[in-house]
Amino acid sequence: MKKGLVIKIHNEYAVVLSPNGEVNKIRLRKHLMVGDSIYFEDKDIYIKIKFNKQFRVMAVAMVASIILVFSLVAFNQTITAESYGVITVDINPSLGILIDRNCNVVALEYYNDDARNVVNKKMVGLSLSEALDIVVENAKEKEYLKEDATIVITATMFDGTEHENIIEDEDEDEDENENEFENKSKTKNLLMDNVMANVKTYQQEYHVVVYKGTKEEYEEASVKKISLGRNILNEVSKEVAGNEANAKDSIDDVINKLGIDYEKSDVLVINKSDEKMMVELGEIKEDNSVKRVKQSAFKNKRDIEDKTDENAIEETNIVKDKIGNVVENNIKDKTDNKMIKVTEEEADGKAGDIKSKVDKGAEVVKGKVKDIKGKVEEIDKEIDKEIDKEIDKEIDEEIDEEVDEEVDEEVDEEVDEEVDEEVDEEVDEEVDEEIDEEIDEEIDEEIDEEIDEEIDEEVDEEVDEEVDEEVDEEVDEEIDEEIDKEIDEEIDKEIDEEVDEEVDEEIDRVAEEIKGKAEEGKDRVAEEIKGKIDEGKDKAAEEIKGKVDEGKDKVAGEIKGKAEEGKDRVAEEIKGKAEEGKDEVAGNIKDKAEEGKDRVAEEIKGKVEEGKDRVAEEIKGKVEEGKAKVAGDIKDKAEKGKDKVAEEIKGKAEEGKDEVAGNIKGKVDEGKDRVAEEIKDKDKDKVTKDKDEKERVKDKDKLIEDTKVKVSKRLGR
Amino acid sequence: MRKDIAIEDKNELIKKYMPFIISVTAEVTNKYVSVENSEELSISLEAFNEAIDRYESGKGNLLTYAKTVIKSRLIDYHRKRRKVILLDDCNVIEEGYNMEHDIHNKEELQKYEVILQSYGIGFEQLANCSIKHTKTRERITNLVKSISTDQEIEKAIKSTKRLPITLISKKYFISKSVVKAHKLFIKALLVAVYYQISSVLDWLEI
Repeated sequence: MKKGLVIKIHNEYAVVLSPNGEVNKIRLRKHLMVGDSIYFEDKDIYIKIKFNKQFRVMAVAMVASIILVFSLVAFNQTITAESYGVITVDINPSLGILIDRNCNVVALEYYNDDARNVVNKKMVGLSLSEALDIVVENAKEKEYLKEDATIVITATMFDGTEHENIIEDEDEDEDENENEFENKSKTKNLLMDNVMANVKTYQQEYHVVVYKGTKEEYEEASVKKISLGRNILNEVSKEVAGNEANAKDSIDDVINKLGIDYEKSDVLVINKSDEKMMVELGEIKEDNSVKRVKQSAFKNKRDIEDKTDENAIEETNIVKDKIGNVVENNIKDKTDNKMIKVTEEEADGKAGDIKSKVDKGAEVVKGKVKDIKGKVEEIDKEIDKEIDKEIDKEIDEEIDEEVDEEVDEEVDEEVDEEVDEEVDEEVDEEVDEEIDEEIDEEIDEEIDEEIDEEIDEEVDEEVDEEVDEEVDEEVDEEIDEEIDKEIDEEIDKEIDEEVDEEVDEEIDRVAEEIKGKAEEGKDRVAEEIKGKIDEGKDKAAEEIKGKVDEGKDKVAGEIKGKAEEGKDRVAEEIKGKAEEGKDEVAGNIKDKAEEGKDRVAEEIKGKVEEGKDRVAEEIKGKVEEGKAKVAGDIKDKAEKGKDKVAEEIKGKAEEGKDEVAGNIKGKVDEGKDRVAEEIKDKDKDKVTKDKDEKERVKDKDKLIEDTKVKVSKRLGR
Repeated sequence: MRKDIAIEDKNELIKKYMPFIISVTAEVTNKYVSVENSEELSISLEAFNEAIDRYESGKGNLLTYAKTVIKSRLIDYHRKRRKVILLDDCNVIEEGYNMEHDIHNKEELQKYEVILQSYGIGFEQLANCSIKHTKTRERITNLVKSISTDQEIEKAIKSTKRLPITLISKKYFISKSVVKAHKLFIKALLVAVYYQISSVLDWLEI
């Protein structure tokens, strides 16, 4: 898919310009206008067919062959409209010559590729006889046609539909045949005459097979795209020899398979009717009619077949089935009644006649052939010349035109180029010179400037660096070392941060002073050096070094002096301040320490008492809590124990009570009873005994009370 | 293809098959599809969109299906338009706004053709020697861009009507044979620049 801007519309195409700069021609479509921008595809690109000479010939050939194919397909219309009859020639090249009513060639048909090699360019319009001669001659030249080879020629007239036996039989049949001849039109004879006249010449060198076909047979062969001659040969070999000819077999092979011996002087004639097919040998008479000379080859073939082995018999049976009994009967009739009569006796007699006639005829024909050949050659030469001339002219013209165009273009270009080059060269030279001069000047200037700058820079840098480095290093080192050492030694660990800061500040200040002085010195020296450099660069460096050294020494001396002065001063100041500071600080610390002690002691006392009270209270609290808890626990346990013991005692007391009560009751009852009885018994002793008894009761009460006490005691426990 | 297909995917599809859509449109209408404002192309695009929506895997190849849909939509459109034109004959000229531009383009291109002819170049010649190789084409176009402001060369071309091949090759360090091979193209482009053929220059983006 490409985009294109239509820049021109032509009759057949439009020219479009693509955004990438490509220019194409595309085929036209509806509503296309100049200025439109459109999409187009590769398939839309217009391709012009260029007609160069070769292509033109090819195109014509292609068109011609297409027409030919169509004419073969749509046979009825094309052939009958223009042509009157057709002669097919099979050598190995296989072609058909279509003729009109006057036996002139109207068209050619090629049934194989070789056929194209045996025709000349202009065949149409020649007479049939000439055409046949050209074909045979060419075939001979191109070695398709060797000696003893076979030519198959068929002749077909499209308005003669019946098979006609071109062999004249013996006297018996003469009347019939003459009648037939009378019925035929003149042109028909003309065709036959033409063919036979040619055949007569050909048979001197080659074997010739002739067949007269019908339109239907010709069309049948055309459908198969082979010649009628080839088709009929196939049929013959199928029916007579029993095996179909292979399409690749040459004509000679097919004839040989038929197993017929025939000589050059004989013409092999294929005869075919509705009922039978025969291959016969015939002889061409003076008036171009053909007379049978020998027995039918078919008959011979059949005899041979009868004798062959079983396979052959099977094959022949198939053939027999095909041909049918009718054919066999016919053959028998013919062979029995007619052919045998004609055989050997007459043949012997006639052989001499024939030979002499043939010889005579042959000489005449040879003469004629030579004449014809000569004429044909002359004509060919003339034709060739004319063709050559025309072609040469056309080629020359075209070449001239093209060459002229190209030469013009090239000459123009070359002239342009040369002129351009010469002008260029002259201009170049002048330009070069001027440019050279200018460039030289500029270069000189630039180089000078650059050199100066570089020298300046380098000198400056070196001087600066050296001065800086040496001054800095020495000054710094000395100052640092000395200051550090001395100060360090003098001011020892007692000096604290404040002192350090002050010292540093002082040192910085001094260093700055020193630096300032050093820089002042440097600047001065540098200025001096610069001044000297301006006077003379070369000498300057050396002088500068000298001065630098001087300057350095001087500066260093000054610096050293100042540094030492500064150092001493600073050291003394620092010492003084340090001692003052020490005393002051010591006093401060003592005061603060005593204040601190008192304060801390009081604080501690307070805290200790507070602690004591708090601890005592806490202990008391805990003791009481503990007491209370223990007391509670003990009480609880005591009560729990009391309750338990009381219950146990109660239980046991009641058990004991009941038991004792029972025992007591029993004993009381017993005592009562016994007492009562004793009382009763001892009424008399009553008064005396009352007293005893009262005492006893008293004892008993006492006992009871004792037990009661015992029980209560137990209970109480 | 489901209906809920993402719009991004759809756009991607349409983008991918743009050449196909254009090709089908051109085939059906038997016209070249215009780069700017083609109503037919927009109808085809809608139809393609519709085809994506309605396409199911059972319907065979997507493109075949899309082609039928586009075809029928375009035919519908033409049928409808014919009716409209029948109803009011006055508005036969459609896309009137574009006409002016088209006419301007056309006149300019015709002018360009006449000028080119005076330089001995025809459009057909240009088409025949068109540069097929992309890289070469770019190289030559860039060369033309840099030459186009060169007064000296402009003078040379205008006065002699020929391309100063040697001068160009020396000045722009390009081999003579290259310039020579594409002299028509270079000349045509330079002429377009000198005479300000804006439609060509815009198109080529020079």
